[in-house]
Amino acid sequence: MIRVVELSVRVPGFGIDRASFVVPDGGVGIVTGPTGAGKTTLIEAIAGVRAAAGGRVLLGDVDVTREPPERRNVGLVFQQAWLFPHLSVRENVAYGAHRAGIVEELIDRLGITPLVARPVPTLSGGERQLVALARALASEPRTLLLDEPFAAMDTSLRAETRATILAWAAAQDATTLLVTHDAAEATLEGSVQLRVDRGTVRITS
Amino acid sequence: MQVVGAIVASVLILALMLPTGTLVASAGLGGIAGAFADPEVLAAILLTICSATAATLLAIVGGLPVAYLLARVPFRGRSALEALLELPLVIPHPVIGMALLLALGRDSAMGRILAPLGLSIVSSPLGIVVAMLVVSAPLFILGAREAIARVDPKLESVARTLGDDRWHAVRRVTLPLARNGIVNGATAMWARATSEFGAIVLVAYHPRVASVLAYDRYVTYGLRRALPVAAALVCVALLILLGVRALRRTEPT
Repeated sequence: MIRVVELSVRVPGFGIDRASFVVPDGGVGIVTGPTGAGKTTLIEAIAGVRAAAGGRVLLGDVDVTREPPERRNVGLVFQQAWLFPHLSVRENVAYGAHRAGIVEELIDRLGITPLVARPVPTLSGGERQLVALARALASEPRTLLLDEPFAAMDTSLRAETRATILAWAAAQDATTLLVTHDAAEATLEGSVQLRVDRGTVRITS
Repeated sequence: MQVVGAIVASVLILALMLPTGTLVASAGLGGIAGAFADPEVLAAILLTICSATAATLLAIVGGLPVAYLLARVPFRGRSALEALLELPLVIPHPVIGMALLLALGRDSAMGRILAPLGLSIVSSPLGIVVAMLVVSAPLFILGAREAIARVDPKLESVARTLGDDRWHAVRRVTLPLARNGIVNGATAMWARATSEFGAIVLVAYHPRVASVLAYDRYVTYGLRRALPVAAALVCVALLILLGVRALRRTEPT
């Protein structure tokens, strides 16, 4: 579960103002809104990489508002994949993994076996996002925070990857928050719909 | 325009190389070989290299956290702290020598604390290391700061969501990515420390480092007698720089 209560975040010239919403255990929250509305800021505050100015963030039943990112058990994927360029693809996927076998399993599941021998700087945008998704899942997070993680993929790969990720999250009972501009994702059945606009978060369904 | 640029560049390169080239040529191979057979010269070179290495290692241990702080953490007074750190680069080094004598010399409060421990910066290897550290560490800290600042903080954020605390994220992500810049900063500092004269000559004339020995030979015996020592030091410096470059070429990128 992701429970955000009256969350405020201040960044220079901008801010999230008293956002409140709940995404139930194992559920999916879809975040939409115009560019610069505060979607990434919201995701970063939940991940703990950006400090909250007020309010609370609960993941599961635990109040993590004052906890550092490493104690929140979240998987964070940005639109720009932010792979570690000094590590191989396999090392990137294995970075936060605790369980033997999960790295190979995810490499296989996401179809990135042909990429493991390639240096990170040679990967395309879509390939980087696949590796970043595998890396986030390999740490077996209870909460997945995905900031337009399929944006650089073509339509068919995007649909296939989205299905794989959501199936994986459902199997792990992980709660997912997905930022998207894609119309198909924005109306995903059974999801909590959130609209962010100029720092204000509204629940639309 | 290109021709003018080439001529100006050639003149500049010539101006940079002419003095040291003339010095080495004047000393001749026999003179340089003779200098290397002189135990006092060898001891001075060894002392210089060991002291510069110690100062550089101290700067790395103490300076990396400072460089990280300056690169990553906005705080009130950061600009003032940076200016203070850069100060030794712009003030004459004999002035730094005087400041060191005042702050750490035998008659200073710190000097009186160090004396019962058998430590003194005056005329000691410790003083040489301290002088080298003060005048050269800014080169390392500023170089490391730039290298760390070039690594996007987002990478550290991602590492932390994958379970690393701040220190492990820095050690596993930031430092490896900033490594080349950090090594360059350490190399620049070490090279500057080996050539230091102005601060050392005031703090520790004895034991003599290479620069002080060359100066001593010059003022005691004149240019002719100082030439072989000076040329030997140029050769050592050149060998060291070539060695560092060769090492860098073998590093993975």
